Amino acid sequence: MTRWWKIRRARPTDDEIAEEIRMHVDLLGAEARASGAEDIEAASIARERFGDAAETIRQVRRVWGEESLLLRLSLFTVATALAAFVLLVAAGPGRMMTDEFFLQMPSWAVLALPMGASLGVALALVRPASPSKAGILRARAVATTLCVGAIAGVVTAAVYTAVPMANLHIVQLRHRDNEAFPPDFAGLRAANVPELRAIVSPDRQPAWMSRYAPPRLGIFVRAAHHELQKRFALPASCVVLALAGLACAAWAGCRRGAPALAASGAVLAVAVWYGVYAAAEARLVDAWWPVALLAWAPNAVVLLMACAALVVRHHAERARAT
Amino acid sequence: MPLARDPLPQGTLDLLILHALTGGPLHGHAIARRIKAASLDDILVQEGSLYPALHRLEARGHLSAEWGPSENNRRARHYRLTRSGRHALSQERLAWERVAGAIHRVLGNSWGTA
Repeated sequence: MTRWWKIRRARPTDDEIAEEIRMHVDLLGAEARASGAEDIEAASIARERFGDAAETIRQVRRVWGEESLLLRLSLFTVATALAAFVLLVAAGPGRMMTDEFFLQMPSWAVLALPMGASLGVALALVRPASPSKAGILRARAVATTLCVGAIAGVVTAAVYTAVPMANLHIVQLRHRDNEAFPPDFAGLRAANVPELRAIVSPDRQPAWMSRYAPPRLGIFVRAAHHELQKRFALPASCVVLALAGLACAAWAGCRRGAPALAASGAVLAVAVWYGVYAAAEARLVDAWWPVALLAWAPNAVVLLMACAALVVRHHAERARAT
Repeated sequence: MPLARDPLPQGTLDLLILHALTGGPLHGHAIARRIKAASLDDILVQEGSLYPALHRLEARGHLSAEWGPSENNRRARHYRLTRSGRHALSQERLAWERVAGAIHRVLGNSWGTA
C-alpha cells in the first residue's frame, strides 16, 4: 500500500512529462547550434535525434497507467472502508456497543457503500493515463464507473437482504416481553421485502397492524413503503454516486492537486445526497408527499447534478478543442 | 530502444541507466550524454526511448525523481538511484555478466574443427 501511494504521488502530470521532453529537445538543439548549425537546421537535427516526441509522451503515460491499475482498484476499497468508519463514528460514541448501535450498524454499512462509490471513482479516474486516446479513455472511464457502482449496488443489496435477518433476532429479543410488539419504526429495517409489501398493501396487511390506530397507522404504512423503496433506491444510488464521482474526476482533470479537488467534489456530492435523503425522510409524516418521490429524490438530484456537470464539461472541452 | 553501431540486447538500457546514475542524480539528457561518453561513442541512445525506461524504473521504485534547476538554469527532472535501484543494478549486472560470459564461452568453442 505504501508503494502504491508512492507511485500515485510520483506520477507526473501530462504538463510535467511534456516539459521534461521539451527541455531535452531544446538541449539537443543547443548542442547542434554549438556545432555550427543554423537555428532551423539545429531544430531539425534535435527532432531527428530525439525521435517521435508525441510517441514518447504516449509511452510514458502508458507506463504510469499500467503501474497504477491495481492502485485504482484498491482506492475504491479504501474509500469505502473510510466512509464506513466515518459513518460509524458519526453514529455517536455514546451508542457504541449498545443494542441501538448494532441495530443501526447495517444501515450505516449500507449507506457507506454508495458514498464509497463516489469517492472511489473520483480518485480512481482522476489524472487519466492516456488522454491522447480520448475516446478509448472515456469509454473505459464510463465502464469503470458503472462497474464500481454496480458492484457497490450488489453488495448493498446483499447486505440489506442478509443483515436484517440478524437484526430481526435483536429486535425480537428487545420486544419479547414488550406488549407493544410488533416492532416500532426502527424495526421496519429488520423486515424483508415480502413483509414490507404485505404491510403496504391494504388487503394483505398482517393482523397485528390493527394495534395501530389512525393517524399512526397511516404514518407506519408510509414508513414501510419508504423502507420498501429504499431497498431499491439505495443500491441504485451506488451507480448514481459513482456517476457523480466520474463528473468530479472529469472536472478535476490532469492538473496538480486534482485528487484533492476530485475528492472534495465527491464528498460534496455525498453531502448533497445525504442532505436530500434526510430532508426527504423528515417529510414522511406529511401525507401530501408521494413516498416513492421522497425515496428516490436523493438519487434524482445527484443524477441531475452529475449529468449537468458532465454535459458542461463536455461542451467546454469541445469549445477548447475547436 | 538504444541505437548502437551494433544493436544492444533487449533490456540493456535499464542496466545502462541504473549504472549511469551511480555517480549521482542526473536529468534525462545528461544520462544520455554520460552513456555515450562512457562507451566512447560506440553506444548512441536514441534520446526518445530513454524516457519510457526512466519512468518505468521510477514507477518500479528503482529511481526517484525531483524537479530542480539544470546547468542552463532551466527546470529539469533529476533522477536518483534508490536503495531498490542499487539492488536491481547489482542483480542485473550479475545476470548480464553471466549471459555475456556464457555467450563468450560458446563463441570461443571451435567445435573441434581445425
